[in-house]
Amino acid sequence: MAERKISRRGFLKGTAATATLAASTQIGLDAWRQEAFAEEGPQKTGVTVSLSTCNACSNKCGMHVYSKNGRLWKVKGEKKHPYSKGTLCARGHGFATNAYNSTRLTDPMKRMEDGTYAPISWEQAYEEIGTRVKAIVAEHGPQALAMTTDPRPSGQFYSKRFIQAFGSANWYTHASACNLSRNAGWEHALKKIPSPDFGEAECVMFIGRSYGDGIRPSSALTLADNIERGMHVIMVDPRYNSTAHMCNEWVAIRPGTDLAFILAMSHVLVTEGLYDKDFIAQYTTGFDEFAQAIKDYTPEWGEKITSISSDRIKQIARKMAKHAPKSFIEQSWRAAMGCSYKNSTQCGRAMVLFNALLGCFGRKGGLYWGSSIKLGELADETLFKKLPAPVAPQYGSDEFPLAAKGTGVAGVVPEGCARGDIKAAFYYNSNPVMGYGNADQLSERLRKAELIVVIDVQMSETACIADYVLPDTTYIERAEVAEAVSGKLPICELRMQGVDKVLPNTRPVDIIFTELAKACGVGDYFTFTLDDAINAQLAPFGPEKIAEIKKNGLAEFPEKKYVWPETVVIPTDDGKIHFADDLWDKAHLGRNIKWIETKYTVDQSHDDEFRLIAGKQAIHSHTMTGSIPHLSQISHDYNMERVWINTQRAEKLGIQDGDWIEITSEVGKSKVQCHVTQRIHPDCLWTPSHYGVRSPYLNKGQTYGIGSMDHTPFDFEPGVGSCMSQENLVHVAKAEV
Amino acid sequence: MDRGQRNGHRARAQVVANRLVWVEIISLLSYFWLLPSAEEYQELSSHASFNNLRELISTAEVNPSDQERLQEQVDLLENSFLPYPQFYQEAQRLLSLSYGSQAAPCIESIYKPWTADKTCSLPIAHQTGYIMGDSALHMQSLLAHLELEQPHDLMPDHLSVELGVFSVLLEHSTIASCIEFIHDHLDWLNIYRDALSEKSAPEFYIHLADLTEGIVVHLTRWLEGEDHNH
Repeated sequence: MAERKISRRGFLKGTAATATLAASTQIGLDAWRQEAFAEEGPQKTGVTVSLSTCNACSNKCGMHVYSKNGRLWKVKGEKKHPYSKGTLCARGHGFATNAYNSTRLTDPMKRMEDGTYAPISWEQAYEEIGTRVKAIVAEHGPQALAMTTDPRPSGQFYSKRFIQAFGSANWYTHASACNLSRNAGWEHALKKIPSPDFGEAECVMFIGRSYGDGIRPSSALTLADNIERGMHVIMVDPRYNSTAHMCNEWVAIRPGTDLAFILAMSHVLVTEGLYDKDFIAQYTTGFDEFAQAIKDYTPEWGEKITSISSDRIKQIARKMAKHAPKSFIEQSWRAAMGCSYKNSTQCGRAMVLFNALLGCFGRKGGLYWGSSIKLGELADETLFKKLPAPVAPQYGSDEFPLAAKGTGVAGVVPEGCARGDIKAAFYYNSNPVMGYGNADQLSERLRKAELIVVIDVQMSETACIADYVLPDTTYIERAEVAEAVSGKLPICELRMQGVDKVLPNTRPVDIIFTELAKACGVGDYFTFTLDDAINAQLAPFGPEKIAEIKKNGLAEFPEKKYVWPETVVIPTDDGKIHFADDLWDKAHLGRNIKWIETKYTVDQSHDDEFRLIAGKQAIHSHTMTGSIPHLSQISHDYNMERVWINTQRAEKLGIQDGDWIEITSEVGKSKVQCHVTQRIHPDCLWTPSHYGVRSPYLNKGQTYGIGSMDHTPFDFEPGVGSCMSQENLVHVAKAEV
Repeated sequence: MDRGQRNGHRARAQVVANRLVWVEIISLLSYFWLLPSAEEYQELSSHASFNNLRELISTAEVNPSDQERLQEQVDLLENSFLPYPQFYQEAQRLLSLSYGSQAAPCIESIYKPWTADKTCSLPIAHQTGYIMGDSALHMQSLLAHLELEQPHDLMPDHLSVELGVFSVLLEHSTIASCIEFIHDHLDWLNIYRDALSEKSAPEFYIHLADLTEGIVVHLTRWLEGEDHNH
């Protein structure tokens, strides 16, 4: 806080010329506006354009930031970027304005003894955090520190280096509440997750993933174009989602049974000899074991579990086989098997094996592995001091051996705090309290840490339990390190500063980590500038390319353009897909694939029992956009917070469309309006994943809708560690208004 | 110099003196909208500072009934001053952007449409509730023009900064410029007063908003009267 001696002259400091200038001042607001907003003539004000990447979701679509008078004027998708292809989605447009949101953090905040927060100076924050971190490391070693981040370019780069500088391997992303299980299933089976070749595909199945809700503009547009071309699309989802209306078929599956559906379809392909025998012979091992393992998973067995008729299972499997190899199950993201159920990793694995039966890998119209470019290493040790080797393995890696080391299991951090293993937890641009199940329990566990530091732009729910909250700039106010994007035409992109910094006392992520490192005694590892880091990353591309990237924020690499190989190359170590593999046993999934029951099963004989599932709406990105006023207004205008309930089940409970319902579970109780519809499987309720904001700093005193994890216990998928976001049981009753 | 000339000089001297009274009132008010340190709090909350304000108001050219009302508002303000540090905590919660939806920051942009730039295609362009709107950019440009340093911890359209700039204009600029500034930047105080009520602001700030608005209203009248006379 600035000290100001009260003076009759006021607190503003002027110069000797101030009085004279004031005497001649004739700059009223209207005159200023005429000059500042002039479009033509000699007064024309320049609009500057910079390339950035959107931060509203992890796609990070390329976008142009137009700035006028140093302030945001317009955003537009970048045509050359493979994800935006010239278009941004609504949440991208909305999120860019967050720089001017009046709920932003302005100063470092410290939690006081009574649980309230008070602004403090950066110096005080650094000094106090540094003292506590040094003491923790001295007493418990660097493995007592953990860092979780929602991966964005600089956030990922700096936060990882920060934690590694101590000799800690405890760096995590949000993956265990996103796509960790899908990744584990696909990556352990294939090593590298492929992309769909929609351009020539004939028949595509989506399981839970909805391009119309979790939008990547280029994917949504490509899908629409190819549906128009005649590509057959099957949408498997308990809910008729926002992509289903474009698709040829909607398969309303019982939630949590996608694995059984795939096993039953695999059974059809194997028993009817509809699989690609040449592909199986050339590019796979263990097929006979697989065939034996799935022999009991008949379509009739599948019908009982999935609620999809055996005839339909057969018909769909045959249709996909008919179009093979230009036919596949799309690789998904979070959706039904990212982190949802006890069987999600197995489901991811089953998708790969079913696709192998179709022989679609590496083939036109199937799934392929695009080209990539590699950024430079931080080779110059005079600038980038060599990081120490970690003193211990990543916390949780022994318990969850199939979780990707790159992302880890972020859920182990609160668990480690409760056990006393983790003493200091850092969170950058991440809000685990709202995303990993049972917020109260998770908060309570995290609070057992000696130190929680959150770096964010607003007082998120996780910030509300932190000891210190450090105010970041928003992404359009800062430059960030480079990123490489693979695809048919790989690119390298930079996030450039698009607008002037808005709040004087906020700092960009690269500066925060550099200064924090200094305060915590590891400043030696941060003697470089952001420009130094970018230069090192771009070094392999040569001067011309570097100049192009720095000028335009993006460069394509036509020399690396994807060319279909003459023969299929599977990226596993031995070039084969393994139908049977001992590695899965590490997570008790079986050498051979098998059905795994979900943790909870809905008993429909109890009229009020349901599973609560969640999904995205196209205008929001989980809870991150909950405080963007005009996006929230759209939600309010269209009653988008309503929880969906099946018509027949609602009738039994005397519930009508628009009624308020009470939802109870072992985790809690909530009240929300409902939408009664045939477009949802009878076993489940569906809620958007964006609402139920709890932070008193953001929710204007009244919670809107419910949180997607308000009724999900805090738990881990065995062997992999995902949060099992849809493993819950809830009871529903009509509520008194 | 004849009697007429002497009277003219006296009248002008009186006008200048009156302006300086208003300058001091506005200047003093600008401190009340800042988050005070313990030392500043001591100074602001002292009886002397309120007496100073009372005296200044009594010297200002305001008709007797309005004079009485303004003095009452100063009394209310003094009586609602909370003890430190409670005052500081309440003020922080109310005035700091960091407190999000709990706060009613005294920042002009939040209460006015973000921009009048018709070419701006952002969804927030004509909405209220955002920072760094046209008001802030204009204030930034005024600060730069007047070679006044923008305080590093305040937005350019923070009410204290606006009152600070206004006091400079009031002392040195034309009456027309002062009136224009009021219309440009001090015309949102009634909206802000409502926002304070909505956020259950401590009584002190409700009274402070009433007093600030009252002073600005009377000052506007005085300025318009002077403008008309000259």
